[in-house]
Amino acid sequence: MIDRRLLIHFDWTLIGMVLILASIGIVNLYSVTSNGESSGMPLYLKQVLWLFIGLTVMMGIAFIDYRYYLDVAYFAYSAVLLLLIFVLAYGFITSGAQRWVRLGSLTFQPSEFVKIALILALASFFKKAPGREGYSLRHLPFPFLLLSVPMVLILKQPDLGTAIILLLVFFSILVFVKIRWTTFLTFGVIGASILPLVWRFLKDYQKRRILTFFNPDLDPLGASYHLIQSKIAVGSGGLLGKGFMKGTQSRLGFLPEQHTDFIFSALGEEWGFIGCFVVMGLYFFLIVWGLRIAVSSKDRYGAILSFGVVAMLFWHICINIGMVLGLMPVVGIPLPLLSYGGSFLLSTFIGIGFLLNVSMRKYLF
Amino acid sequence: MRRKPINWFKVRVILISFVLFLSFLIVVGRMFQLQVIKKEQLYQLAARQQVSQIPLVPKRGTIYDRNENELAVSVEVDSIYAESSKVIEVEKTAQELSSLFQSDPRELKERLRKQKSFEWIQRKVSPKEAEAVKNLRLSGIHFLKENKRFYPHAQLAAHVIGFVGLDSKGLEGIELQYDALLNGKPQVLTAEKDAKGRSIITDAGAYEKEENFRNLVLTIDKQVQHVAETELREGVQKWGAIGGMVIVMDPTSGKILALASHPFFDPNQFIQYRPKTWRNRAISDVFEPGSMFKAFLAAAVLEENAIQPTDSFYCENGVYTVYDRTIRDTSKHGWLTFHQVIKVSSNIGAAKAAEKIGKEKLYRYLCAFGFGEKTHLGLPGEAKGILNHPRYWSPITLNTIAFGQGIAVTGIQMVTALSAIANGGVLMKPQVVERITNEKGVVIQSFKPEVIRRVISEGTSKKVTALLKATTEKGGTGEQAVPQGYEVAGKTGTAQKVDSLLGGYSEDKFVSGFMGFAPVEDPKIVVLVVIDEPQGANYGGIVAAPVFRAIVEKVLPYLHIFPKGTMVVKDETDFSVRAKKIPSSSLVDGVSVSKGVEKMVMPDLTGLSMRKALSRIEGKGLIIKISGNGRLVEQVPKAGTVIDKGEICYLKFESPS
Repeated sequence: MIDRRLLIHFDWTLIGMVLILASIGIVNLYSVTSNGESSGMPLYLKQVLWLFIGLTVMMGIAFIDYRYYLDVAYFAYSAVLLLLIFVLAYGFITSGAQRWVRLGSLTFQPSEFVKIALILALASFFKKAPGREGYSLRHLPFPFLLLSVPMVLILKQPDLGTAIILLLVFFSILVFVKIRWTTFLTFGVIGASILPLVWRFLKDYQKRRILTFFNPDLDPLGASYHLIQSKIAVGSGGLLGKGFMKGTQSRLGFLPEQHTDFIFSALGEEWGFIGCFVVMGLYFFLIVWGLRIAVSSKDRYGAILSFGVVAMLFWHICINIGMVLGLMPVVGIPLPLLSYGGSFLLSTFIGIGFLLNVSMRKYLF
Repeated sequence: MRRKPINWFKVRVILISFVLFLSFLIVVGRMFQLQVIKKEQLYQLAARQQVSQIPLVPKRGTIYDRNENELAVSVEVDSIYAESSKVIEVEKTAQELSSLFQSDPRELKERLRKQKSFEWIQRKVSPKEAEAVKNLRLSGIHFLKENKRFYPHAQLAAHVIGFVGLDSKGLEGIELQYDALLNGKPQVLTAEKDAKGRSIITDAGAYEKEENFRNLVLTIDKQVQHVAETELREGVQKWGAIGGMVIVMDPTSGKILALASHPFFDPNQFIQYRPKTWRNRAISDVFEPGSMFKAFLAAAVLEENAIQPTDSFYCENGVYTVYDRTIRDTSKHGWLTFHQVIKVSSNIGAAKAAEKIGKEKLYRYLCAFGFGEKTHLGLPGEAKGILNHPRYWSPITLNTIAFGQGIAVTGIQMVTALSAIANGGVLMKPQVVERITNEKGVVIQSFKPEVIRRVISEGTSKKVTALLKATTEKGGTGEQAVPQGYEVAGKTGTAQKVDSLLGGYSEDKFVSGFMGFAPVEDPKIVVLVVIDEPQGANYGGIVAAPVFRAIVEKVLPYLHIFPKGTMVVKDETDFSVRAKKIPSSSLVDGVSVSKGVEKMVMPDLTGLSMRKALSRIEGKGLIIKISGNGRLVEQVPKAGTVIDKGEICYLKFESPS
């Protein structure tokens, strides 16, 4: 089954970058979470455990030819949809959202896998090349259905962050597979015209976050607290940072969600501009590398699949760091390979498994 | 066929790469902005919210007298605070603590419930109270060391030293004037604070203990001050007066050796006294000096050569009318020389003498003596007194100022001005602080005596001194001011107080004073005594002069100026060797035997201090040789021996340690 040539073309660069980032993630997590007197297994150890699970799953996914996934794409998609419905029915609620299901002693967040499933399904749909003009609205009802069903289910949880990621990944793929300019423009117009409508559907706390983004002084101890504290943490790190385990902002509990969504501000506080710059450089290199894999894929399916993964990673990084640095309103989106969270880590490694898969098969026919 | 779509594909990829690159550029740019450009600002923000600062009472510098005896010290005491988030039994804790400190248990409970990490319970408790609280073993109740001011000599020099409030801020006196120096940098307990506002005090002992206070060494001499206070109290009590003041100054340097103001108060419990008693009368109260002021008139007219001491004045038999005002003398006099005018303190004579130099000149001299102006001795609350410009004088002001009416002065002005007469004519700036030392006792700044100006010539100073000496001689008003064995110069004064209710001068309220210096030939101390509203008698010569005498009598020997008829030789050679060969009672040069007995019995001086021992045998015409310091351990001749005048006594002193 395993072709010898696969090992020759195995993408060590990709796996190397991923491992470096994941290690930085573990170290950072250790520093951030080791001050509390929490009981049970420390978070960073749990993350290490998840990392091994993730690596195993990644290798498994990488070694089965991605063209087989074509056949199971819609099946996987349906299965994830069922899980989403199950969450809404039986999932348990924490901090106002119903996102998790319990699997034995582990908790599990199906919405993380929706992204992968959508990428698979879209790649499968777009595998046949369109005409010279590209796709128009006429071709797109089915992809929209693929997008909107999980989006509605996720918004019901509610999980605005994941929904936004789905939307962005969807349009990124549309641009990649070539849709007509006119169609793209139409989307733009429609999107702009329904924005007020979207505003009405937003929850109060979400509206406040957006308002306070534009004016943080509106509610410094409430809605814009995250934003202000995160900026303070990153900025107080300065050029060289306060040092490993020395981040006072995070250790004294001023940073909310410091081990998940705001992990990057803890990194910024302890490692400073230099540390942030190194991590950003690694991310940039990872994305460029992924894009290269997509472009040099031997077939269209592989290209779309890997581009979908790249788009997913890119938007996660972009929105998360943008939020941490106060460039965007606060939306709960984790940072790949750095944030704590088992489901998210697993879905990230599945994606990277796809990238590896496409990368090492670009010369095989 | 495939070329074209690949081209478009490339365009799209380039477009996507561009978006990608731009996004990363924005992110890195933002990181640079936050972490490099705005770093300082955000760092401050972080520090501000992460640190809570609790001000503590710092160690305060010590105030010493000129021999470095402690007058005000800072002692470490316990202060109790609660970390209320860690208090388990709020009810019980509140009950126990409130019963111990007699506070309101409900209010305390309220404070303990606040879930704050730092809440003062009781500051600066006594060691006993601290022990009691420690024994209760209450959780969440902790101790911090704070500093409390303690004045070991209670009321001694309280008006000079002043006192501090609970927060160790100087409120009066030196404590107020030199507050910043004594306190140094405020001490702050810095605690990390978490997002919920709970402080995390890792180690309560590890707070910033930077001790950069300064100590002050005053010119005040504890012994002299003690004498001044004792004699002042005696004087005030004897005459049922409402108060009084004594100032002792070294005339050559302007250094204040003692400054006492009655009624006294204990700065350790200043709150239990009426605020009125905190006032340093010697520098804050103005009064009409009365006849004491004739000394300065004399200085002015003699310096101007307008009058010679032998010039005569007709004293109108006790009643002299100038314009609408009648000036009276206490006894009727006819013709008096100026010398006699001062000696018997004739108001009429003085008024006529003033006319000889006129108001402009007199005014100039009074200004030169420092009247109408603060002396800036370095104590808060000093008054200027009242000395109007001659253009506002009424026609008789010149005459009345001559005997001390129509002018208001402070005690410190009087002493400073008299010092100028005593020291040969130079006005010195009064001084209370000798030097400033740092926490290790190293001198930071030393204050030198400061000459303000020459007021009169040395010759005039001699002449005035002679007049003032006459006052204390037989027939003068200040006879009672003369201690045995010393010659002094001075002037009495009795002033009617201004009646604030009726206007004009009060019939029965007086200020009685005496100011003088001793010894006449080389003045070492200038002393002012003022007794406010004595009952029964009001003449300064009767009320204040005895106080002056008592002070001089005790202070001069302490300053190693022994009464005439006593010769004290500092003898540090081996005592026992010397003692064997006592020379016969031959005459020793310079020993004048003025008073005292021809023969006397040597008293037992064993165990007495040097001052006490000397006071027992001084003035008896003995030559006293002393060695050592402390208490008397040996004396030759032995107690009970009959000795002659001019005989040599050896006294050996040793410190008890």
